[in-house]
Amino acid sequence: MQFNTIEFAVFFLCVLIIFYIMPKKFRWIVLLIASGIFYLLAGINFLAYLGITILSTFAFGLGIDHIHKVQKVNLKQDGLTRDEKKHIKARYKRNRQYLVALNLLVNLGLLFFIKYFNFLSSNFSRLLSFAKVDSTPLLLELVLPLGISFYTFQTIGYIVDVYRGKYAAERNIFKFALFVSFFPQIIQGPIGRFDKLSPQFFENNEFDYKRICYGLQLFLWGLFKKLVIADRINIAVNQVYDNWKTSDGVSFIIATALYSIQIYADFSGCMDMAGGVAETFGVQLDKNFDHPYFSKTMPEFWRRWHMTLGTWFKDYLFYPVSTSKFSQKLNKKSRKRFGNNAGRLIAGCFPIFVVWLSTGFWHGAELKYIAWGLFHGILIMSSLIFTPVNNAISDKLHIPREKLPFRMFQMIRTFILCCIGRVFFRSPSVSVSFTILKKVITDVNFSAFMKRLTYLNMGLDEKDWCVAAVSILLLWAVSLIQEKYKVRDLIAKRFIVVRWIVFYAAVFAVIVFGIYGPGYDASTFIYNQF
Amino acid sequence: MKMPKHAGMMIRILLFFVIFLLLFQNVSRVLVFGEKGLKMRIRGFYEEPANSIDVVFLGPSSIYPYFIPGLAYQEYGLVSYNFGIPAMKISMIKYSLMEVEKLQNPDLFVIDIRTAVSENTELNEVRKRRLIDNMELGEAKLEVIHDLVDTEDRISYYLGIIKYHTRWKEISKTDLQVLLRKTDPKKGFQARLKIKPCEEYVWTGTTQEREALTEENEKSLRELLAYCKENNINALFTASPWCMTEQTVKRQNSLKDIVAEYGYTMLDTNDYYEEMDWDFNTDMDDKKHANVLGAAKYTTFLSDYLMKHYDLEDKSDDAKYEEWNQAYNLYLKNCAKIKKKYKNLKLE
Repeated sequence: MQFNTIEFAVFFLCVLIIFYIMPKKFRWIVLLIASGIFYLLAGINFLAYLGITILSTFAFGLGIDHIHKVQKVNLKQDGLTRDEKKHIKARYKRNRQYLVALNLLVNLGLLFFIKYFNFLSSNFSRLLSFAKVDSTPLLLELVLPLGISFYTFQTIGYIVDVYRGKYAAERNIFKFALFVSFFPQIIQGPIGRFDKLSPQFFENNEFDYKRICYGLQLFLWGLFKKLVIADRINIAVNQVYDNWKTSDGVSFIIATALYSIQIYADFSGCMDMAGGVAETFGVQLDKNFDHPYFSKTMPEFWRRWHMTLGTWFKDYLFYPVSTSKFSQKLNKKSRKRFGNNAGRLIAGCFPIFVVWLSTGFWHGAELKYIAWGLFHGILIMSSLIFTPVNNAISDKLHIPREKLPFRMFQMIRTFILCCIGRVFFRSPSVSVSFTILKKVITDVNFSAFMKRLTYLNMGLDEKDWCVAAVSILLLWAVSLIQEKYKVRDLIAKRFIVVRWIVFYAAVFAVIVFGIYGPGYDASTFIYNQF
Repeated sequence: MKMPKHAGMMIRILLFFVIFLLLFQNVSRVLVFGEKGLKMRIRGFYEEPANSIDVVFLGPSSIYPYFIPGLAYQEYGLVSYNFGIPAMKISMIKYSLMEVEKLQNPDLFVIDIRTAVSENTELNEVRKRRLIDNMELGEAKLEVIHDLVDTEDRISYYLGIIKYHTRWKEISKTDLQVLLRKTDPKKGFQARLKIKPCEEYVWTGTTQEREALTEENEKSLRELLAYCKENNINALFTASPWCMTEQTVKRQNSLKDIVAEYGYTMLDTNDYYEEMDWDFNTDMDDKKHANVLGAAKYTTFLSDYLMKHYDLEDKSDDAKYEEWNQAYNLYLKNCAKIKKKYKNLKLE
């Protein structure tokens, strides 16, 4: 059941009414049951996978917590020497590590098996064929459970935090199940943190008219981004990319820029819908987007795009890898060999490489995602290397870096780099990506393109292009305003007639200009597949 | 008196949704597709004052290009309306009848069932939508959707805008006219202004033989008749003039038998060509439909029959029905047009 369906609207309305009818202390149970039903509707098998993840993480969390407590009790014993204390800590840490490892084995094992088994099997077989060993890859008919990449990461975050002693493990399995399965966020995130998300289910659930209105407005804005912008542009992008053999370089330039807007409108639209729904229940989900296309550098872009995944990788992969023994050894060796600065840079690139390889792999079991991840990894590493150089050059040339023209240049540069990465993301394969990039360089003839008016052949007519252009401009204008103000607060301050005109206009813009209805597949959120 | 705690909020929510529903209803009406006069004919019917029409004609295009309510009013003071849907299959007539009953309490329904002799029983999406999309949400609409539409497709029939929202690109003046909530000036009549000589296509023989209708058509016809009987509906079943073949004559004979089984009368006007002065060389628009000249003959004949056989009031002096006089004027204009177009035929 997707957010952009009538079924979901009915489901959501029913849950909202029941939620506020119930006494406050039972409201979280309504959310739990609703989440169960929501997930059940996706398939009973999927519920089994989710159940395993919940049960195992809950049990291992309790186990780790128990070890924490036993360790505390043992450390309180009188007369322990420093060495004995150290020994006790090390022993219990090791025990906790075993439990974390076991939990990761279950959760990541499930994710890897379902998502990556066929990929690994076929690539392994390909490797064998290089070695002239005949083998047929074992391919299983596996269906990816809804949101598995998101909830697996969420539970990993939880277990690692419990291991680190950041907070105590949840002792009520139903409350824990709600944290993992909360229906607005289970499909596409944002990847929530237990200490921030879970308390909200039980604390902030009194009826608040303003908050509900705000939630519905956010949902509506998300729906607008998805149905009016993303799904409209999608038609043109598909037209070019599905016919990549015959499309020319100019078409690819336009389609790729549009795809960058599409994927933003699609994913951030979904996040707005999820956030809006959660807000009506008194739950504030983590921010996942912060106007990424206003970024001036690639590292800044990744701090503004899919923020919860970025911080997840930072906390649970980048830091552990950076502080690992291997990294420390690498740091030492490279500094010895290449000098302090270069050596530190080389050692610093290693965790970045691991993170971006993993990011690519997280997105899907395809080489193109790995290529996309590595491309971004290289950009981030290059940024580390070249930012000081660029700054020195601009200082020498007296270019004011804080002035609008330079910032515009940086934003456009970042957008272009981002678009190059999108070619890998959107193409059917890595080899096609390179063919497209080659066309973008060698097959560019704007005047011929304009003569042929190819844009008319991109699946959209003139009126659709007008709606797309106006909607993108609106998205851009709203994003600009959001940099300084809260748009919903601005609207709320207006006279009721003005406010309602804005709401009706938004609702009917979605109803009339949205891409939906017979023949439209509502399950086309881009990030659903991950 | 002190207002309850959330009264203001509740009023605001209620008002917001009432306005939303009004807007939604009107936007839907504008966007829903309706071909060549259909939208005006059906939407216009909803705008007629309740219980103001004495005779309602139901059926497909065997009715609305044939009967001229303006002329019937002018000649006999008969207040009538054509609630006709193009290519409406026999299985759908029951639901249009139910819908009409919701709005009007006519003395008589005239239901043209000529379509039942057809071999083609396919009830495709277009045929369903012509009626359903133009109906207002209510019992009849819910029932027709439940009976005739597959479960997975129903939502876009309940809310037509799901199907038609993309029509914003092609909105015409006619589409916007529904916002004015006007009645149909022609009272459901569609004037056809072509003359297609059809004499050669008409089977001139006579036969009392019967040929069975298709199983599906017979079932639907019997359901319609049973519904009329159960609900004590005063109805006359008709078949308007068209180029019949030997097979359709035999099937029309069967029709008469089935209608009679339920105690109703079947008036096959194809038996009255002479009385009507019907001329297949001048009165047809094509093999299956009358032009405005044929429609005038059919209207005069049928109105006369109705006034003689049913207890219908002559309302020609009632000022409330001024619009029917205007409908007559429109008919006269159409007559003038066709005569001008075919002046070489020296039509009377």
